[in-house]
Amino acid sequence: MPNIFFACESYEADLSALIDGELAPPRAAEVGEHLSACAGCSRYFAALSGVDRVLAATAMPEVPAGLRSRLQEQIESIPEREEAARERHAAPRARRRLIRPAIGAAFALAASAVVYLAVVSEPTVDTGSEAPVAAVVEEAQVALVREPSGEEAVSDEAVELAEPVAVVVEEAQVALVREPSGEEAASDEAVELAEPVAAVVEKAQVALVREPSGEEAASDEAVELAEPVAAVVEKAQVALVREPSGEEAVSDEAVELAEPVAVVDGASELEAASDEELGVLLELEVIQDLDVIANLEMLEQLMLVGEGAS
Amino acid sequence: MGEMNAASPVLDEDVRLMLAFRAGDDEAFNELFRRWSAPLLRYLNRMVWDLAAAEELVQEVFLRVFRSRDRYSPDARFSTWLYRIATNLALNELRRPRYRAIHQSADAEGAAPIRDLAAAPDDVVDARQLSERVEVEMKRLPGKQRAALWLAAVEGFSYAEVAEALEVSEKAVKALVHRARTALAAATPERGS
Repeated sequence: MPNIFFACESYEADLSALIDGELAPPRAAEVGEHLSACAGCSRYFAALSGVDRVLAATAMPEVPAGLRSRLQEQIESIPEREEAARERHAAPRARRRLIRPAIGAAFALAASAVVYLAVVSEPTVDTGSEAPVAAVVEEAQVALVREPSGEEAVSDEAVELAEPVAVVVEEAQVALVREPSGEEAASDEAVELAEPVAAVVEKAQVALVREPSGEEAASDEAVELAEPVAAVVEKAQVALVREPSGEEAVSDEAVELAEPVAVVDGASELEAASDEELGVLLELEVIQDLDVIANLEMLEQLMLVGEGAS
Repeated sequence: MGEMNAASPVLDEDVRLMLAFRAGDDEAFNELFRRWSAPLLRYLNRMVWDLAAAEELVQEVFLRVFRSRDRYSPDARFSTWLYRIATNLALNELRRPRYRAIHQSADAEGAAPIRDLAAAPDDVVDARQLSERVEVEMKRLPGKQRAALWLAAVEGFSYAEVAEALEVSEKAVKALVHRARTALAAATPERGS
């Protein structure tokens, strides 16, 4: 938005925060003093304040009487549904607790793997082995997106869908804990357990080296394959770009426009800074009880296992 | 500003109600619904610009509150938690193709009025027109900007609370709110001459 109010650059960004009472007192006083002396900033401030008046005048809607009764119907159907789900899953609570933290790790790792493949997928690359992982991630993501309310968000459905990947990660971690001294120490068992996930990443990395041009290398099929994780990568990309150069660097509109290529760009970001990137991916998970540090360590270990297996 | 302003001190009462509900008091849930359904509907309608869809979202928000009651912990204001659920649902809703289409059509409609506005004398901009123009501009805003501005300007959330609801940093909230307010400010009569 161009500055049509001729506000001073050094004050412009703080005017909104002043309205919201979010400036530290010394800065608030400074900006206030400036406003009394500067016509441009003063006009701008008045216009910004006017927005709040208009918004605040939005009428409070009447909630239809039927809404509460429809909600009640849904609530009354919960016990049956959840009971049925519990029987279907037959997974003890303790087991779930172990699996849940692993979901974020598995999801982030597999998502990055799928994205790598999206960039590099070529007829010469056998993409068969990533299919099970990709399918699980895709379904798990769909389930997670359906449950966006935060900690509570991990639905039983999501847990169930992510389980095949989570178990691999979880068991590999257990194996690694038994052999904690690094790459060379990784037991055969750990390598074997982690292979289904690590192989995908490894293969993608090899292929990426062969096709370093990135965007051009992405086939339509590859983009389609990665589409389910595009949203995650897109957010990660934005978050990464924000880190070094400030959030103003990427407008929401630009992100929206860039979405079709976000997968490709996201992949090169992943290549560039995997730990930070994976951390961002983990943060993006709606799983609030995730132990991020533990999972990052787990991911690092898995990467080592992957390399050790090659 | 509604009387159910999220910044008002009645929030302690919300936490009390939620804890009572968690302990098995269903009437407390009814009371929370009575207190918050209208402000939520207003917010969600401004997020998705479709009253029927907003009503369904309100229903979904409370369904989640109901299902999550055992995991509720009063370490944040109830409204922050509630609006976080609502915002996530709304932003997901906006990812649907039909909303992308609405957004694009708002862009097409909005382009002309904004140019007209820049040239229009201030005195022709009455309150209704102003409100309509702000609405047109608001529809054009990306969902997160809309949410950030609404929560800060109307619901009285601090930037820290908006950050929690949107799952972004406070710095990002400051930028989102300012960008949104600036875009809408172009539709107000106080703009520069």
